[in-house]
Amino acid sequence: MTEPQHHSATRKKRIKGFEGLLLFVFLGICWQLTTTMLPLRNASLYPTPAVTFKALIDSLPELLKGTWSSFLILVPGYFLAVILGALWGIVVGSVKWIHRAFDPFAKVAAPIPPTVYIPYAIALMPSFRISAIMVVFIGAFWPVFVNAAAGAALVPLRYRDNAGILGFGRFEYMRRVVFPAALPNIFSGMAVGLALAFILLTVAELFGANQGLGRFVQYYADYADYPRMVAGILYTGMVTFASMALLDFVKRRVLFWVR
Amino acid sequence: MSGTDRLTNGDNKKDPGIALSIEHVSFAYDTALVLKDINLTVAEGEFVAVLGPSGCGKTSLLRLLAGLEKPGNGKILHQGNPVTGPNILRGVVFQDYSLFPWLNLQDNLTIAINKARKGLGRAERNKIAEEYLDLVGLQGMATRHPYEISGGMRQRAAIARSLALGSPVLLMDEPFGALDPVNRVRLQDLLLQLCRSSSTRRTIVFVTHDVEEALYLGDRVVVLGTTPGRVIADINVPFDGKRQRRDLFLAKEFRQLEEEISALYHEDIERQLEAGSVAFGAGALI
Repeated sequence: MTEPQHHSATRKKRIKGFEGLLLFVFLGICWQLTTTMLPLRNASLYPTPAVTFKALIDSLPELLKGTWSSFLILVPGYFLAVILGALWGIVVGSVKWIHRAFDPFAKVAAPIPPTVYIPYAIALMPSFRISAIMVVFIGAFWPVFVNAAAGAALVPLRYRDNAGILGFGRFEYMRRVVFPAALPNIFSGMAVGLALAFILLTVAELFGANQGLGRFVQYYADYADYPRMVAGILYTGMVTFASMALLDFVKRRVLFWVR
Repeated sequence: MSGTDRLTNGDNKKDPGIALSIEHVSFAYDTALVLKDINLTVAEGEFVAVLGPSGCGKTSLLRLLAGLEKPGNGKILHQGNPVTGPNILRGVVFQDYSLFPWLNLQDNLTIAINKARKGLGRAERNKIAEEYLDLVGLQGMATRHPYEISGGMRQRAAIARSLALGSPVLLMDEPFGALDPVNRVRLQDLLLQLCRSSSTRRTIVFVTHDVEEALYLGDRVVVLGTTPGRVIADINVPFDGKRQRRDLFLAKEFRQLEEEISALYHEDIERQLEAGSVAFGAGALI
């Protein structure tokens, strides 16, 4: 009676923690099988893992250069959005009359898909880089702002009471209480904002860049070099993942007190 | 945050012996009357335990004294000056949230020390914070965060913070209500010990629903009835300062007082039941 249970228990224990990895292995096998075993009509559209991997290694210098170029857009746009979104969100969330003044505009402007700004931004701004920074900024600003404002508006009564008892002035209250209390929300907004920033970055690069990650993919698609194109997609995925992981790491360090 | 009552009490000081006075105070949440015509004075250095069942408005009374709420009617004076908002003259210890979770104990205390004594250097502030932590038995815990320590330690730190704030009046809202019995007794004794030492002696209003706790700690026990909250008894506790917990709890007078207060509780509840069967007053909504 107990034997099979024991077996399945140890098996579960062995797999535990590796389920995610197993899925990658499974998908890799599927990729290998579909590209080598199936009689595909247009084989060049489906590069095998080996060919793709070689293309990835070969174009690594170009990809790294493209990453640098992309980050010159992403980093300024994103960080500007985080700083201004968090500050303005805290102000709007905690000062009632400013909230009344700004909230209707935010409700209308925030839901506009930021991709629609791209053509106009490119036409408006003197260089592609500045227009792309602007679009990334707009895209990342709203999630950070909306979350920061919500966090600031919902500062628990107990913190407000404490601030009152300690005799905090308005600025001290914002800095020492509202800001830390809203930080979990700000980080949620930052995660959404970062994902959006990557989308906007690559879409903007499809439009008008002469280098960068999105540009890399578009360029090799134009030349029907699908191994490099797929390598570019995978590489972009890895960069995005690494950036999100970094943000998550920072979040854990900063929000150590959130349980 | 808008504490505007004055730090000094110059000409309009009414009575030097009276720390807090509550005059004809009523308080309502929306339409539900929570407190009705409360009159109470607390002398300087007095330890008043406010005792009442849940829902009697004792927390509201404390928040009114702190300036965190405004009375609908009547007025509240602190050393003769009207209370218009929270002020560091009146420190508060809440049930379990007097500390900021993102600051370690030392920083939680230095915020208060900063308010009490301006212009101190960082090292000095930290040193004073450590002294206060020592005082409540939290030696070497300065760099711990509230989430890393037990509820009892958090309340010790909260008491240390209010002492560090230097407030002459300490308002305590069931500060030991969330603790296990052993820690509860430990902290009660710590509080009494601090009250007896001249350097940390304060005027204290201590809210509780526990009859024993009120009698053990208070020089005076004010009993509140419910719906709406009002004073139904004001009892001077006749035991002197050198109380021993065990002797006290065995004492005949103590048991008698405890019974009297329980009887008062019961009377009040019965009156409520009778009133309820006659008419549904506004208070029945609570």
